[in-house]
Amino acid sequence: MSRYIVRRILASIPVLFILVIIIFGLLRVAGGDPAAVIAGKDAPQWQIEAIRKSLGLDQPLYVQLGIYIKNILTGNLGESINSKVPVIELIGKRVVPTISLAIAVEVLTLPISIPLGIIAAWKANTWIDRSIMVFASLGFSIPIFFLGFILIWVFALNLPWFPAAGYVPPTENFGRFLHRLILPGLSTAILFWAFLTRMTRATMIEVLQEDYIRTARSKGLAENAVLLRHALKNAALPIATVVGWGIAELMAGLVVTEQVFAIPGLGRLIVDSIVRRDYPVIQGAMIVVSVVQVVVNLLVDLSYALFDPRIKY
Amino acid sequence: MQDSTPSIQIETQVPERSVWADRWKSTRKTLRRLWRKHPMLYVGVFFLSIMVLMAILAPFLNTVDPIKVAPANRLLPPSGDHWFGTDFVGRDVWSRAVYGARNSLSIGAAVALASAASAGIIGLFAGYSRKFDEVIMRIMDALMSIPNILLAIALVSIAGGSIPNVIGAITLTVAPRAVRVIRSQVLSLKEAVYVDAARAIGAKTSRIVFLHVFPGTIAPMIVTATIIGAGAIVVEAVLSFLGAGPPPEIPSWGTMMADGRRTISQAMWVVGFPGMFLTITVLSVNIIGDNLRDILDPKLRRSG
Repeated sequence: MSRYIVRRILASIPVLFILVIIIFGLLRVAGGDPAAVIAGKDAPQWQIEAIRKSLGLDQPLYVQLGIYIKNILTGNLGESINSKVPVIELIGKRVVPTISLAIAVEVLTLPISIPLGIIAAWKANTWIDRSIMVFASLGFSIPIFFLGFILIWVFALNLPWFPAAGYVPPTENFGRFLHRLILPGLSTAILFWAFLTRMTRATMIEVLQEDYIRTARSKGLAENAVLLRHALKNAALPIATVVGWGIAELMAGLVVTEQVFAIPGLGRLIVDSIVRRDYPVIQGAMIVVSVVQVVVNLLVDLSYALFDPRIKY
Repeated sequence: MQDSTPSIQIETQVPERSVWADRWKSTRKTLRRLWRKHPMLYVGVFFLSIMVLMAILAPFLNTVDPIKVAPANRLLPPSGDHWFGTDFVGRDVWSRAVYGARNSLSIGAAVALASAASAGIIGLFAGYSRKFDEVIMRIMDALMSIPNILLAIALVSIAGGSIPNVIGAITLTVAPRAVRVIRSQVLSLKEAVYVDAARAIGAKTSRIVFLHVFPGTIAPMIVTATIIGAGAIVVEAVLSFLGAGPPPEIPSWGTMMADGRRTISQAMWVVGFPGMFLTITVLSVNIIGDNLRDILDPKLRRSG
């Protein structure tokens, strides 16, 4: 077991390494000369040369990569071309809105989609199942930003229930902080709601065909005991995988949600930096987001080993 | 001579006609069976066909120049002249939405084809060669851990927003998932008895790969490509919405919705109609993908 954990952690190191190379190469090789970008449009050649030297850009590419990796390991992601603020500080300021939004999405998703998935599996191939799955397909297909606009239009412009956009830090006013998370949370939650409902249904259908379910039923157990105690327990792991997948993939969805609802989170930072061609910020933020995904994947895999005694490694 | 010619013709035509008649009969039978078992497939095909026809026939559908600006007509509500109203610079929303279908559908189809082709090649290669498998799959893992929208906007902002660049960027972000599907299929096909048999009679590796393994990957490839196509349409809309899509003079549903955002309180139609088209298109492609999965590859059904 502990050998498996060590092996799994070691296996994610090359992935992280390749990840950094891809992001580094992408922005360095294709993004043009950062020194020229920093110096500005009409800078003289000697100034560009000086900046290039001070950033170590006159070194061979692999040396630059080495320096970059060393810097990442010490928590130094460079500094913004525009504001000269360290990238790590910029990211730190934007993390709270994004994480609160991510938590809001999970809170709005889990209590709805897991029961619905169970019901759909239990009533498989009836009209109840079919209508739940139609809604799930719809939720899967409606783009987050379109749903966001519909919600704004209905609940902020026509009914004065929620503000149309904006963000209040939790330290300032916790009630208003929560209030403003509801619409953006809902518009992102639909996608995960659809995905998780489908996943729960698929796993539960599989589990409900097992022999021990038939045994439980023939013992005369009440149906809800069969469903919740015998079936759901065994379906929990694949469902947990999707929840983990959701947390990481959420980051991408939130890029859009933050744009629609004007929330100053990580996604907006990345989009703004892309518009301004602020490469160190794009690079740093992409690395942070991707590392989160790798770590979440790792935790999900480890939880398999921890919670399922049948899995031997 | 003249008498014998028609009789020869009849002889050659009759079997030919009956082959086609047989084929048509069996096709009709298949279609009827599909209608009974997967009625939703037809719903998806129906709506997607409408979108495709609209894209093809765009100039004949009471449309005007989709990029013509007419400030005097700004923000007109839907009417007989402007079926879907006009936007904040007076462009006709109906025309833009119809021409936008061309953009979305062609990008979706191109990404689906490019992903299927590259995933087919890389997946076969990775699944068949132990040496490269490790390396290829670690690269795919790394690519997959970058959230796809982020990777796509970064790529497009670097390479510039032309249609081929957008297609390339989206393909690079979604193809790794397809590679995974194909590779795992190849790994299981490799162990099939008929592959062992082919090897036992001395078939070359290239023959085994192309004649025995490759055909087995086609069904999952079609399913995956369909679902990737639906995803690509959404990603393109998101890219355009964020201003990192194809050039702004090409009408795109995402660009239209980004433009409509600032006037949403006065003119919901500018956002609503392209959003509706986008949702219908993605939904119908997803429905087709789901049903194809059930039809072609029952094994894939578990993966949700």
